[in-house]
Amino acid sequence: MVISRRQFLRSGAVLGGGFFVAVTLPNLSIAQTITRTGTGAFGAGFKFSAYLEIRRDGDVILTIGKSEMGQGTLTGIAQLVADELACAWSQIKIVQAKAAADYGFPHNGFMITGGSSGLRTEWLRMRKMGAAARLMLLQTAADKWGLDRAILTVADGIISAPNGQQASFADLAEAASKQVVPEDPPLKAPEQRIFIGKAIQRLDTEQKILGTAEFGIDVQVPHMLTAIVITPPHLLAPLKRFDASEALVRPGVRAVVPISTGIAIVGDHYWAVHSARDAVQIEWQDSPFTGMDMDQLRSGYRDALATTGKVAEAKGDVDLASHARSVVLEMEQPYLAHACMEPMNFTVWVKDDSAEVWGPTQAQSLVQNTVARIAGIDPNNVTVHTTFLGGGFGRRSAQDFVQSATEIALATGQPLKLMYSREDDMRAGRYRPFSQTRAVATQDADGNFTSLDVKIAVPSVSKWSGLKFLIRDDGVDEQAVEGLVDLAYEIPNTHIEWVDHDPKIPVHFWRAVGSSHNPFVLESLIDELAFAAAEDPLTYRRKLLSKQPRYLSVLNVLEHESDWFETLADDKGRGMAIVKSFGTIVAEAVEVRLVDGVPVVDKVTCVVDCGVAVNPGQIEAQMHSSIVFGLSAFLRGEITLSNGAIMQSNFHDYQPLRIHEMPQISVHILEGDETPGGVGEPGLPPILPAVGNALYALTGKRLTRLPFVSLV
Amino acid sequence: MKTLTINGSSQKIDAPDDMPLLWVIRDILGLKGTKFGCGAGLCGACTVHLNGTAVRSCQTSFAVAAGGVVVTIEGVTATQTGSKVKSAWQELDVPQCGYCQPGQIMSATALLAVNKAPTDSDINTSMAGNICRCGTYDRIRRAIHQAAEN
Repeated sequence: MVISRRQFLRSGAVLGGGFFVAVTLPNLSIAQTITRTGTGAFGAGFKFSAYLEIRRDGDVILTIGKSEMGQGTLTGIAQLVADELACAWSQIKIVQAKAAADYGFPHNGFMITGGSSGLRTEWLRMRKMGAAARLMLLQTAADKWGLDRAILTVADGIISAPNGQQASFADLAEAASKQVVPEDPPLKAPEQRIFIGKAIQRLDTEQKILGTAEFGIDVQVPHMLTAIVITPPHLLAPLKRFDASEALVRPGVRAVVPISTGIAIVGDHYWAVHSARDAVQIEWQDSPFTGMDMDQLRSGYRDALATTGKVAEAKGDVDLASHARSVVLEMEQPYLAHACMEPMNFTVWVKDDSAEVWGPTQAQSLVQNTVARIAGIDPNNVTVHTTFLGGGFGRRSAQDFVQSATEIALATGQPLKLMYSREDDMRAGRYRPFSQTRAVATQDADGNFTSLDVKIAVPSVSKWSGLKFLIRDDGVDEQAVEGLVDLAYEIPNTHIEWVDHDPKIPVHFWRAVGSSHNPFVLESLIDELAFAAAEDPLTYRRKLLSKQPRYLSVLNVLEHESDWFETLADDKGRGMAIVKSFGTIVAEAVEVRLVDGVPVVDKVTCVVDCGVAVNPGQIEAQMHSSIVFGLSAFLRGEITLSNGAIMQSNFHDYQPLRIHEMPQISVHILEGDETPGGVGEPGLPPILPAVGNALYALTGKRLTRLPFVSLV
Repeated sequence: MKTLTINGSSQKIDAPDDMPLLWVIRDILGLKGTKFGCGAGLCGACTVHLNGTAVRSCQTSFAVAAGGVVVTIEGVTATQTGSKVKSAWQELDVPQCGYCQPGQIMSATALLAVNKAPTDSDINTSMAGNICRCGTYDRIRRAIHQAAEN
């Protein structure tokens, strides 16, 4: 189970005091703050005490700093520790960490959850920590019994000697804390693993079923006020004037304050402030987007594609490559909303020199910086409590709602919970960018792929997010071109160019980021080449990947499990795609029909190579999740503007997939020994081109624009 | 002041007539298990049982609910059907982010109360009002079948 910080503190633990906590309270053992300096297995300054505590009552407390948004990261990381530690699974209790560099990436101390990176960046460090703790406990038992450590065994948190003596971790914890921490403990061989590789049930399942799991929207702190923000209907229009007199007399409304993004209504609870919206008379100035509609947006992108961008990759010479046959695709993909089930919210309390904040954030380090900047305090004095996230998909690493909450909190001087309505969430959002791409692929007379020349116009999400380390030294935003560069396909000549076209509509990471749109272009192009060469699409890809054994294995399983070469009914089309993203290769094959001109996906076969499959049950869940998320985007996902105002507002005009539209999905996970790749996002990139390719196989018509409108 | 029986306990509540039951439950009674997703009856996250029927509490005014019997996620797992649903949900590890799950469980329990052996088609019809952005629909359907079998 995942326990809240408040529960944990009530039960008497003192946190941060050491590997085994100070003996000032019952049931706890002697402290020793173990700090590693220098590099070695753990990295500079790694503190055991921040992560692992073994209590006298038998609980193994793991403090984990990754945001749990449904991807199962807390359970996965717990499996890594427990596997080496060899405690019983039932001993594990997880505490969500407060913001601190201790919980940041091993290489830079930056605390953020995204890029399907949680488990794979902690893969080594967490297992080393578990192994070190196990060895310290074993040594303690060995010392206690006067035996050689090598003859002792450990299982389920109990250490046993051949003569029948036993001791539990709890018995040994206090003394173990005095042991020297092994510098670089050896790790188990794959066949010795206990929890890694098992489809263990998640540790947060029960709370989520009982409704006791605390999300950001559920946060309650004493003297807390609640606010909503009225934002201009035409994007980013500055405020001209407002009259709050009618609103202020409504029951439960305490204040109406202008902030940088609009007008905040502050009061006792959500309904009191939300129902007061219409009572505030507001005049806005002209929006910088006045008059902007989709035609204008599109023409801006077209103009951008005609300019010279930054070269992201150039191999060989595309101009000299054989152009016996040439395929051109000009494609357009829309702005997309994240539409997390839990609307944006955040709770902020600004004090004198410090602040305390609560909420569903993916980016604790950024939160500290945002709050500190606005409140004029030291970021290290911003305490960040992370709740469960009702979906993230990248949206919750943005700082817009944190900024607004902080501004309102400063104005009121009390703890302040900012809540978004669904309309706010849809319209005052940060979107997956709109893009236009022109892709040219050439073949020689024998059908060999000779060159790939792609130009994409899309804004830089890395710039917008403030995460500058994602931008290469040459100025190329990796997120803009991922899925087009460093391809495993054997292509002798490539030229990939990025035009940083920014219409200034706020954008941010959306599940799979650049890999949410670029593979749609590339995998559609590969299919076009296959058909041009009169080859089956899967066969054609095999040739292009002949030197890539992992990809070939994935294709083999895909062929077998999807019955790729079996005859399909006349009213069905079959299509596939294979994409590597976030360290994981996923191939998907789909079967699709057209019903009243609208695609219905009946079946998806999904094959995953993510190296070591830490939790196959969760990998399957994430593949389902990504496929459904991608299908929703393919069929109906689109955020559009008219006269500078966003058109969509709720789930009637931004319609995710519902249960009756769910295809039959089978997931096949390849066994592997390699360092795990991510699994939160990689299932998404292939689904869009797979469906596009299936529709082409069925109708002979190529989709060059998403979402699906019609096949003309 | 109006009375609501909530999870078996009779409560006197002072709230405006037009205040949605959802916010009465969350902010006056302090029961946070019932979730806000859309405020428009489109997503199902706010589903509770009112007088034995599944309703979207964001679309049900306090005036309409007053005098009635309300069961929320905090109370439903104490019922026999609710308990079977809970076990099935647990065994199949249904939730991902978990935010939509109380609403899903309330809808599922209401379905099973009137249909002891729902088909896939019955489930799709009854559960179509509950959105899951994490896409755990397959496990939801299998869990409903499993709860029905037990």
